[in-house]
Amino acid sequence: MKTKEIIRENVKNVTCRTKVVKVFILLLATLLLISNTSIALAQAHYYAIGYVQPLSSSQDFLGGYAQWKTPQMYTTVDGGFTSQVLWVTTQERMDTWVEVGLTKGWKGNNDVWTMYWAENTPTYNEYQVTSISPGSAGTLHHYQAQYDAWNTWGIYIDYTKVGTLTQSAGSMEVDVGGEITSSQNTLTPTYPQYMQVLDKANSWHYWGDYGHVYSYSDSPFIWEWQDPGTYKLGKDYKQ
Amino acid sequence: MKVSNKRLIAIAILIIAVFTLIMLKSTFGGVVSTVPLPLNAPSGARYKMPDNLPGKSGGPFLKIEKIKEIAIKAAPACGESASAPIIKDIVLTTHGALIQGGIFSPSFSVSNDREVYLVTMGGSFEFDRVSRGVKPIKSSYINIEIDATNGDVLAIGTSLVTKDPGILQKLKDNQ
Repeated sequence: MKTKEIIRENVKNVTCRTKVVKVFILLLATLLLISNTSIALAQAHYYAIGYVQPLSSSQDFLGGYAQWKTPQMYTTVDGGFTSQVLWVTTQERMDTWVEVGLTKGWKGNNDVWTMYWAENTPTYNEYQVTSISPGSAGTLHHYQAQYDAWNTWGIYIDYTKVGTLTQSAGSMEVDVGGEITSSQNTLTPTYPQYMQVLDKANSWHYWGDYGHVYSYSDSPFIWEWQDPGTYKLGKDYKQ
Repeated sequence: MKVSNKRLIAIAILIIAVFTLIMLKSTFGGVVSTVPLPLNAPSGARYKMPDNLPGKSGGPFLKIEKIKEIAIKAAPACGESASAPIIKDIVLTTHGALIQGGIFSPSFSVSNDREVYLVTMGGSFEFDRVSRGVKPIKSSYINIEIDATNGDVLAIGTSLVTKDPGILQKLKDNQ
């Protein structure tokens, strides 16, 4: 009888230890998950943008345009970037695009304040524009990407070509606004305006006249329409 | 000498065609884009190519050690996980050769004869400049174009073209 009781006691102890081990593993996994989540949060990506989509799938765009005055210089502290961008998706897809804009932070250097453009075809490339400078705060610049010829897109700043790329036609979305890699970076107020899209007949239209207009913001960065309903003047900034 | 009507018509069509071609060339030959300017463009605005771009400098060029330093600094900026990137190759070539080789698209910050270094790197890279809703682009291989004279990082991207030894050799031959 005594031996049976001892065995029973041992089995109980082993079961109890197994439970403790399981709880410990669960705790460890939870801690790891929390730590990974906090890493992911630290590396979040922020947008403060207005965007336009075609009225119907057959009315996709062939280009996008926006102008904005160079704002007070942004501040970038994380080795990433704080940018003001015009994106135009291409090839009738949402994951291929061309973008052109102004950035504080370039290739790990927080202090670089430059124009740039980039493409995802889906080969991805970024290009620094050194032929045109942002100028002092208040300097007006025009940013543009358009389908120039068969499978050829042109990128323009101030109507001056800064790049060309090979992609087929058809844009399902045009976006304008801020893209920032850290909430510690500063996006000083910037006012994109006269946003337009190019139709298939090669005519430009203001966003409100030729598409569904939306906005999107990741706190602490904000996009606001200054003229809701008309959609010719936006503002993006850090709250 | 008699010339048949048919022949006369053919000659006339040929003359008109040649004339039209000449006119088209003179009209569009120097045109950068045939797309109209945006609605709010100021009068007198026109599409143009940038002028006075930096061309062939002839040197002196930055030393390889400096180029490595610039490339290593530029590479981690591609993302959080650029762990121990490895420089695979450094080639002194020209901006135009990189475009011709299909490594980068045509860009107009320097002239095609500008001397540049192409640095190819392996590692774990992430590009964060993406369109709304798209995840950052990851790559284990990148190309960096660095102005050989002033060290500007002119372009960076994920083309795998330079993995082809033939292409890389052509760029090296261009040195």
